[in-house]
Amino acid sequence: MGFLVPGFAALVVLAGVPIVIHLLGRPRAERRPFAAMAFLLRAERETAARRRLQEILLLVARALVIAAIPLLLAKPYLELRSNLPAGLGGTESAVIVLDDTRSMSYRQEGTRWFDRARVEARRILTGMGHGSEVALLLVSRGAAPLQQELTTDRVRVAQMVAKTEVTHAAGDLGAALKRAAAILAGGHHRVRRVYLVSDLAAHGVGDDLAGLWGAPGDKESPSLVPVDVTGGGERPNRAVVGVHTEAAPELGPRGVRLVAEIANFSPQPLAGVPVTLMIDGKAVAKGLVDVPAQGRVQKRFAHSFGPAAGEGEAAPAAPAAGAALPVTHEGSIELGPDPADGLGDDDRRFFRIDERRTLRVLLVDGDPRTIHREDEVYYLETALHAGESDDVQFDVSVVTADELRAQVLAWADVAFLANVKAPDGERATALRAFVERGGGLFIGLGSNVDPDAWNAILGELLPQPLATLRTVGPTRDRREDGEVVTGGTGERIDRFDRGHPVLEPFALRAGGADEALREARVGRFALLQPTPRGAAERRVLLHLDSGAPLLVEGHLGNGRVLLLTTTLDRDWSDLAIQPGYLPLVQQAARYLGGALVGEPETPTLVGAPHPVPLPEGTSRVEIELPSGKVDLFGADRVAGRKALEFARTSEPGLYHVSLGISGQMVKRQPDAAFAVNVDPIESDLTPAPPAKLAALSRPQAPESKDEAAPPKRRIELWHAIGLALLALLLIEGTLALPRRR
Amino acid sequence: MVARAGLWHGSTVPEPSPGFLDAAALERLSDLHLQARLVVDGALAGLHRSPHHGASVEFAEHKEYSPGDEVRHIDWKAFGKFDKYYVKRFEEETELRGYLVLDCSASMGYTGAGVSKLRYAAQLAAALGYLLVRQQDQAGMLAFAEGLRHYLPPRGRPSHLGDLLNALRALEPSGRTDLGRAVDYLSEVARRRAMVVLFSDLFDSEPAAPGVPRSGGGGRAMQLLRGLRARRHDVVLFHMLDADELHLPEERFSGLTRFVGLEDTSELVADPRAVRQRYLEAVAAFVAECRRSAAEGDVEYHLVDTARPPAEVLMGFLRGRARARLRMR
Repeated sequence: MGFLVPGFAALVVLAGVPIVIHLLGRPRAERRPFAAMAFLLRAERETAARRRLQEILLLVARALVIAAIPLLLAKPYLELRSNLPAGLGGTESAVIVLDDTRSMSYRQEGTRWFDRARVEARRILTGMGHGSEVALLLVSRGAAPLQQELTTDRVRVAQMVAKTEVTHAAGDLGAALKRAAAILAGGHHRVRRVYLVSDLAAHGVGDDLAGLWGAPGDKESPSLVPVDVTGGGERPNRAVVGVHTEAAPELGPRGVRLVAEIANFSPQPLAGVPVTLMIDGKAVAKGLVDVPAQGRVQKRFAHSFGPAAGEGEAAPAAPAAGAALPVTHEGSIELGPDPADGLGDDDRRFFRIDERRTLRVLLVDGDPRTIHREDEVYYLETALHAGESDDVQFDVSVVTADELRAQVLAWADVAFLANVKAPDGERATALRAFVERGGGLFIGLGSNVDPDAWNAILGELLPQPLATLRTVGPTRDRREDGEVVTGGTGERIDRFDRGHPVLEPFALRAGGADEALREARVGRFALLQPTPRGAAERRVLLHLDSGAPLLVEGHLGNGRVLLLTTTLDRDWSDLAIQPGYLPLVQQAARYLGGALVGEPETPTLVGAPHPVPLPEGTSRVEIELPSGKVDLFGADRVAGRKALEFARTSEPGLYHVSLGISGQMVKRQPDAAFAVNVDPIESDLTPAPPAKLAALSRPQAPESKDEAAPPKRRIELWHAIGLALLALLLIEGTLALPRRR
Repeated sequence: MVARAGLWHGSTVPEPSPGFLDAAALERLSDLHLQARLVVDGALAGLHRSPHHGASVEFAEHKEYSPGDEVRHIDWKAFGKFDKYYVKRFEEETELRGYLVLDCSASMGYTGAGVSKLRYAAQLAAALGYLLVRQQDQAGMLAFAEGLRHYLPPRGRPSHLGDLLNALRALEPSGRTDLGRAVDYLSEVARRRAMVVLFSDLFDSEPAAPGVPRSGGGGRAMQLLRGLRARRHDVVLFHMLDADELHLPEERFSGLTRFVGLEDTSELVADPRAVRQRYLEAVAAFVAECRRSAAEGDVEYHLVDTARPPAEVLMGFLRGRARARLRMR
């Protein structure tokens, strides 16, 4: 403890005066002979204890009152070692970089790191020397600087700090520090510092920051003063760091498998973490996962949306008009509550799933005829139209081989090439691109197919290169002079790959389901060349008696290809008139079309702009944030534009878009809804290595010993002593009042 | 009843007369005889305002006639009522014997703003003695403390009054209180019914049990007085207390004070302001207990604040007795 006016402190000894008076005053008591001593002694005995206590308290109060007066005049203070940065207190040009990223909302011992950061920032502002100038920047990505010009009005900056709130966004520390360096370049003082008030997590301190301050020894460049607000200790956190969907054909055309990636960022393993799949506001699946320390696991959920929306399920955000439009489902993966988890907003991850009710099938007719039933795709088209199930509708479109273009393929989910000649380069490229981006391609052979030409042009698409044609039975060769049937008895289908989804309708051997295919006779088919592709890239679904493949599956990019080594009509086989033909081609179309459900796009991260497509004539856009707030965009901002870059993705959750088109009422567009998730990088709270921080800091050489010494925090005591003096006077008055009466 | 035979035979009680000389003023007169006269005159001046006068011979009781009784004493009214002869018996018409018993212990020497309690008691006793002798009654005196100090047998001669007053003047306070011995002695010498007037503060100085502070000895003293009353003596108690003892006044007891006991070595350093409330409660309880005990024992009790003029006290005493006589009739 120190004193500003130490001379007065010596007068504290006067506190002993009341005690001395008390001691000396006893002998000076007036001597009075008294007769009624018995009553006096009794009264004394009854009041002695309480009175003695009062007297002691009074004596102490008076001694303290006398001691407090010189103490008050001496102005005592305490100097405590402060955790404020060394050298603080001089005049300087400084930029306070306040970390407002999501990780700063971590709650430790009941207090958010960001709240501590605000306190630290205010303490730095208070501790700066007279004349210091300061600016204030934020770390979160896309955040505008709060005070980007150096100012001496530190009170205003402190008010800005108090009003600042932590965000859900990830940070861009590099950008903030570069901006700080630029601001400090215009500083008026020799000492230039950047105070980084942060959790100093490793994810924020990248290697790219190493050369931020210029060459070592450059006295003009600022120094970085990291201020850690975490207080050390463990930082347990777990998070859902990713969710993606996979088709689950075994669950039906609307089966979907959701894979959630769950990370444990704590040094202790987690056991039995409850994970819940929420779809359209309902918990549809739950599970438990064990996550190793500092590890990640995947939790898979399988879900089928059922045959029709609204039948026994929560009504999704479906458009009212027709089943042909996609149905949008909103969901999330959520972790169960955990008191030890200090960061809660990453325990949930949002997604949107679109469910299509229609599969667009493009039939490319390689041998069109004027008589419909002689057409190459007659049986195929009939099979796809006939007996459509309730859950999948085929939107079938037929084009000739000449009409096959990229624009046409862009419409389709599945394309059937029926006896099509080897396409030219442009069409071949379009087909290849179609399959690579996820389209399904079914190739049926015929008399127009030249194996060599196909191998040369579309060898990549074929699961296996075509070899020669082999005729083993009756075929229907259409010649100019009429149809000719030649050949022997043909071959039958022998082996099934019963585990393949395409052959699922024939999987039950006991019911004779496979007989619907086994009755077919194949009179001509193409042999296939040997291929180095492994089983993962090529799979034979059907074999003939001779062992020759009849139906082979291959992959290219995200798409699938099925090659039927015979024709899709009756030219080379009677498969098209067998009972099994219809389920085979329909199931093949569904399989090739992929899942009817899936995420339309990767969810946007908090803070990143999201493009909202605008149909022609859009005059008004309303975007509802997860918190319920609505952002409005009028005609002046959306008219004539094809997309709106929505940048206010500050909250994690699902955003709903409503559009006003061509003067009509604003209407919600379920298919335009989008999910925004937190950046999982902020979930990893591992502290940055001290060496990296030390290299980044590069403090300026102190000018004096005082500057080098750790700062001390001075606590002025005289205000408290003044209050105590008033209280003591009150106590003294209360205790002495009965004596004065 | 002999004990009720009064010093004053008035039938009604007059209002007190203002302008009494207080004890301090009386004390300045060196002649105790004069003091006694002044006190009595002052008291009687107040009492003489009454227009009523009593008889000198007092009816005592009825007795069934038997041969040898005075025929003139037959109560014919009673014969008319009961058809039997009853003889009216009257008080003995001999002289009243009054014993003035004064406590001369050290506590009676306490002097507050005026005179000591003993001097005050002496003034009162002198006045009573004067009254008794003036009406041809006998007045005696017994002074005691730890033991008997002085005994003057009751006499009715005018010259005896001088001896009585001299003895009263010579009294000095000292020692402790032992009322028991005085009562024992009185029981021996007062074989006929007499009026016993005790002047005492009733502060018993006998050591208390260990750990228990001494208390006023009112209870024990009253027991002794009730013993006297049981012997058919007319017992009057003048409870002598100084105003300091009754009120512990702030103007006289304010600062830190070392109280020293008068009859023993007890000392107490205390702030009177701190103990005043409890002290007053204890004194009030003591006086109330004395008053109650006296009433139970048929002892006439007068609390005497020595700040009051003695004549006023005497007048109160005489008035009380006159009131009692009226009730007897």
